[in-house]
Amino acid sequence: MKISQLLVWRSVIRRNMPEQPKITDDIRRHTIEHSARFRGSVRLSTGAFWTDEEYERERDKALSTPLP
Amino acid sequence: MHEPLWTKIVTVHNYNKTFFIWCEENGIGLKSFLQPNNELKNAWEHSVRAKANELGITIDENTPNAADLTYQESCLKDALKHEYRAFFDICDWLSWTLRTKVQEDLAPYDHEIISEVIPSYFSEIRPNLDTASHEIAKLRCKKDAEASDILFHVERYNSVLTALIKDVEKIRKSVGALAEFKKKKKVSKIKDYLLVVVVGAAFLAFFDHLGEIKDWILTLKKK
Repeated sequence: MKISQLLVWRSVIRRNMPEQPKITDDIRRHTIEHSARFRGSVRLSTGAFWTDEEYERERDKALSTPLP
Repeated sequence: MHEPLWTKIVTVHNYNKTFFIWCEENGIGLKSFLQPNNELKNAWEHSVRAKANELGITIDENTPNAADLTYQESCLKDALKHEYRAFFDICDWLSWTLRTKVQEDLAPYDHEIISEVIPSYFSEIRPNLDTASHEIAKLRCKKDAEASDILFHVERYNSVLTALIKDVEKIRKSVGALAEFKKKKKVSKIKDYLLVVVVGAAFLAFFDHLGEIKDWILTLKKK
């Protein structure tokens, strides 16, 4: 391994990882479209995850609906 | 090194994993939720920084010297805070999932049936569900806590949520009994109506033929 490469990884130790973007329907669509190229969770590759908007909507609905 | 902090991180992390798996396996539409993963990713990032410092990997001129215990501790505290945020994101997800399941399961039944089949529902389960979901939502908005309080909060909500999961599973198991009781109640109502109709019809018939009955009794007396 080259010294320059070592310098690169050492210099990012204190850097934060990239922030997670807002999860949208577009992200879900792209995830499903490109899932064949990546290894990983079946849930994610089939788009079985909440978008931020969906999550907040369902959560608000559940919390505001009175229990029987 | 830093055993107490690591113990807290390991404990909270595994609570996170337990509830996360439960939510994925039992949640609405079996969907996953990405926000907790983001917090866990950040927790991992801070843990790696602490380990890098412990291993003496120098970084740049702004970085503390190798094996700086205070720096490692501050990194691990940050890691713990991210685990804590993940915990409350997952708990929030769990609490509204539980509410939705209860709403769906009990919607077709009235109060009388529910209290007959699940006697603890109105006295314990429902108040616990209401309190837990609102308290967790409040703590989720607050986000941060002192590292010393984190395990206390986590242990507390772990016991509340574990009890609620058991209660909700009890409700799910009672769905058959609820349906059976509803059916029985319907049959007994029909029987009651039929009885009223039969008795009513008998009375009507009796009063309708009252004159004839009187004549018949008088004939019997004359004889």
